[in-house]
Amino acid sequence: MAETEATSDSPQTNNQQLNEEESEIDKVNKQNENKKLHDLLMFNTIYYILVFVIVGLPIWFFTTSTYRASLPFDSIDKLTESLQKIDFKIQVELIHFNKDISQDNLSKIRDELLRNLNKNSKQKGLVLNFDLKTRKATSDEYNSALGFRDIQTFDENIANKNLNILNLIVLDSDLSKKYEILDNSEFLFLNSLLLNEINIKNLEKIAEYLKKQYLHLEKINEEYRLKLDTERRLPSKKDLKVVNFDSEYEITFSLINEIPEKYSNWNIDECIRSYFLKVTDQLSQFVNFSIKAQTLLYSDFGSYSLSSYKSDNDPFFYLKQTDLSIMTNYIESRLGSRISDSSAFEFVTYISAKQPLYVATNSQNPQETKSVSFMVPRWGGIYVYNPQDDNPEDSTIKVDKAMKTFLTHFITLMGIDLNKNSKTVPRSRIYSPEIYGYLLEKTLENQLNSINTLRSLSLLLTRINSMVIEDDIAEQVKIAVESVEKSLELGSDGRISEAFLNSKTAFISSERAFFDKSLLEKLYFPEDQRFAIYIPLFIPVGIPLVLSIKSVMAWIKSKKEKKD
Amino acid sequence: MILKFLFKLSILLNFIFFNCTSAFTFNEKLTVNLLPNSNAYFFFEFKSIWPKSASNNFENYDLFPKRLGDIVSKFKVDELSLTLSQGKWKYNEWGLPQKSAPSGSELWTVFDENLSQLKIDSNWLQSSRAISGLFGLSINLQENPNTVVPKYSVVLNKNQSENIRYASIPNEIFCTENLTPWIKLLPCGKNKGIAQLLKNSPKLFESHYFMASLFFKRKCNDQACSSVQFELVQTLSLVYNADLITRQLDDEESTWSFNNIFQNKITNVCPVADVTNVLLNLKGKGKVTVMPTEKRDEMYVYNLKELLASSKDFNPSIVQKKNIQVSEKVPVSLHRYITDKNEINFGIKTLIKNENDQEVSIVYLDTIPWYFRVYISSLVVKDEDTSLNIKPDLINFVPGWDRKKPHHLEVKLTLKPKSVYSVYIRADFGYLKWDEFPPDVNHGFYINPVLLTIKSNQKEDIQIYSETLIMNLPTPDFSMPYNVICLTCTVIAIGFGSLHNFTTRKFKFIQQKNLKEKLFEFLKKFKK
Repeated sequence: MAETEATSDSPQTNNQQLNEEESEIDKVNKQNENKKLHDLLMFNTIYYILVFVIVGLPIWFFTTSTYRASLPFDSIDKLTESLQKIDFKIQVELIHFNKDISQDNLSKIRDELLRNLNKNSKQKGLVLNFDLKTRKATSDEYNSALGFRDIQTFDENIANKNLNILNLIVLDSDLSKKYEILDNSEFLFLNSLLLNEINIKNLEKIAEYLKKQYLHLEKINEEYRLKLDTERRLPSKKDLKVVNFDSEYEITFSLINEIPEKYSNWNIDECIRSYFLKVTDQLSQFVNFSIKAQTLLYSDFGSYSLSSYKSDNDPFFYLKQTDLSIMTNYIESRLGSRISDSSAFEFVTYISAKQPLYVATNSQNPQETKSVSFMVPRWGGIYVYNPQDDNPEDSTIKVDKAMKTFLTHFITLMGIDLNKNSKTVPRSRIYSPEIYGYLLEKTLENQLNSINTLRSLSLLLTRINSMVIEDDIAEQVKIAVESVEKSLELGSDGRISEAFLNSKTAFISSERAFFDKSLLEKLYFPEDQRFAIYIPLFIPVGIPLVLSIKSVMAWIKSKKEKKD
Repeated sequence: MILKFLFKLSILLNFIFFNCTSAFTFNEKLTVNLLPNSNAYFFFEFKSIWPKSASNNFENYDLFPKRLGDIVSKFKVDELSLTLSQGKWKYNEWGLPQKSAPSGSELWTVFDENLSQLKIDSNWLQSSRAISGLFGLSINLQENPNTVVPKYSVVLNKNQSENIRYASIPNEIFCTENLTPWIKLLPCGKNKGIAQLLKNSPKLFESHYFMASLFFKRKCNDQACSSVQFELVQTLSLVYNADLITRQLDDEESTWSFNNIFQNKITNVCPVADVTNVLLNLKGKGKVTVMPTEKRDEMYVYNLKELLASSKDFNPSIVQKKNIQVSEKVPVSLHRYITDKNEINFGIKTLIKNENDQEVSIVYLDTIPWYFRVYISSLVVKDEDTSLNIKPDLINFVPGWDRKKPHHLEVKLTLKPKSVYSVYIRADFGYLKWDEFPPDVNHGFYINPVLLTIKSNQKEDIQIYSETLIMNLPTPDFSMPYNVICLTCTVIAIGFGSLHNFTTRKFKFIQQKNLKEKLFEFLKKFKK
């Protein structure tokens, strides 16, 4: 401002001043042209850029990137491929108690049976390789066989010893008479008479029987086919019914008593001991059970009312098929929450204030179709107890009948297939071939499930990059992969119980990894936020630096030219 | 002689039988006390005892609530106490309650002595979560650490141990959804017995004071603890103002019935209950219409098992005098308030007044959240009458740890007759991270009530609670993060930009040009 004023006042002095100033300006400008200064400034610029690239960018990257522990993706891929062919070795041992069978005959039987068993075996998919051994029962075994009380103890002592082997037992006529086995289709016992005459047709039948009734070949093939079809992921019929597999199950027996004035006790302790403990003990080396019982008084079914069947001599109330789900919901709300996360069975005995009460499968004809119990898939069973059917005067409620029903429900809900030809369906024990069948089926199911879970997990993690993978998840995945591999190996080696235990570990670890909540922790944090937080770094610092790159390039170019 | 012997034998056998195979027992009791100004105090008590079966294979809980039994078994709990309350008990006006509770919720647990401290900590967190789930509460001790290990108070008449964990959660709101699971723990629910009065639960929340509590204890039957029994005591306290409910205005007395208050009557007894009693404490405070089955001193006892056998329902009408004295006065009264507040810190003062003519020994337990930074150096215990500082019998202070545990102060004092003491401590406001603020910040931050244990040589120790205090913390504007980004952008742009320019640019003087020249040059550039 002062200068402009000066110009208007005295142009001459101003000119002089300007000249002087110009020369000074030139001087400074010349100084600025100094090469050394120019180089220094360029070094400064390069220094800024280097600090930005070496310090700034990594800090930004590492503070905003998600932690991802390394996972064995290769092994998972390999496992997925190995699903195309899973083989199991089935070790069968034929123990004969018949002293009349000659060694010659026996080896013929062996060869023929083995040929029949391995007939139609496939090359791909689920392959079962049979291995058949025969041996004579030792004299100890024979003597003890004569002394056993019933078939169940026989099975427990002779056949149940090694669950890696499926036993076929040939009795002689004395023993089969003792155990009242007259028909060859009964239980696991083959009648000696039948095997004495080598009838090829019969052997074929036995082989069929073994595959169908003991190993449930059709069912496991279907299971395998459905599980492999990962596109559609259809559940099998059994999947819809069976309680989720777990390493520990909780079984709760509840009595809902609406007439506590009259009936105060139930003989549950005794019934659990005589019906459930034997079965759970048999399975205890594979899965754990905790059994609990409780009594609840009165129920609250809201505005829900029961249907009634009126007749002169025999009136009763009944639950329609459509009412069962409502009823189950009310009952479940009464049962209350559980604190453990293990899979649970709920078995409820219900004594209604409205007596007698039945379940009618056909509401058109309740009189004919009334029953007392129903099974709830993946949950448990409900038994409607009517004291008048039992002993109305006794204040103790005898739940033996209910327990028998519950045991059948339990076995079904566990996924154990009972031999259809066995004599008594509500029974207090499972036979060794049934356990063998269960182990085979569950091993395969667990292997398929854990491999599928691992594959889904690896797909998910490779597709979504912002998912955190913590060390303990990586550890779980590692355990799962190792256990599946081991289980597959043991299965093809015929060691089915070890294979089962490994498949269990694999299943549980893979599920735990897949459902771990830490996977989702940072998913909600959108990608653009990673930049937003560091905008102060990018815009005011980044832009001048990027713009100065141009002059640095020019400087380097001129340097090069000079050298040349 | 033989007859006598047989008789003795039968008694003996009976005794053995009942001791060894005694089954689940359940007792219920309702005590009604009349308070001044037509207030009535209802105290429900339900006691369940279950001898735990010795079998390892399975557990038959019988009528004992399995959901609670599972929790205490899984986490190896020896004792557990939970109280939930709404409103404040007016100690000065209403005297001593049958059971004290702080406002909000309080939870403490004694764990099995064989557990390690680390295991106890994890069990405590998990069990508090399970309890919270069971009653629909929002106790979250992980994100809101409030746990202390009190050395001298809380557990009554018991050797103190390291295995106890105590948390008071003053911001817990007690509601019908918490009461429903509580009622479900009773063997007969609200279907039968005195719990029938609880059927209309919204009515219960119309009371002036409402408290539900639960106390569990694992008891050994013998020295070696070969068999144990689970004991569960559930209590419920209600204080109603009869005048407000009946909408009567009478200067002398007010008339009300159970039906007025609960809009329900007791019609049946719970068939599994051994004793169902209603106790009415009149003591010259009023009259009642129904004749009691028994009279103990001034207490009217109604044995409902007998009564309901002959009559349809139990609904006594009570004529209550207004101007009456409290039967049991508090020996020590307590008042707590915030004082000397400024921008940085504030003081918390608790006045403790001995109402007795005798010396009283007390234990003062204070837990202050970690975000109020307490200075133990500022602790002053003073006799208010003489204004002299007092040296307490004992001070136990465990400083808080940010995001881990609260400050924990215990002071043992002996109060002179009729004296007023004050406990004063100063605290700074802490700063919370922006994501640590609760959803409703404007509610303020709670400072837990003080628990005062009044030691007594003859009787059980008495516990009383002070008021809960609310304090505001410096609260940020929650749209702040983006403002911060913008501001830092500007600051960095100014700072870094000019520094960068100065160090990497050359500066040149240039001729000043007038507008004509500027324009000419500009056009020249354009032509190119």
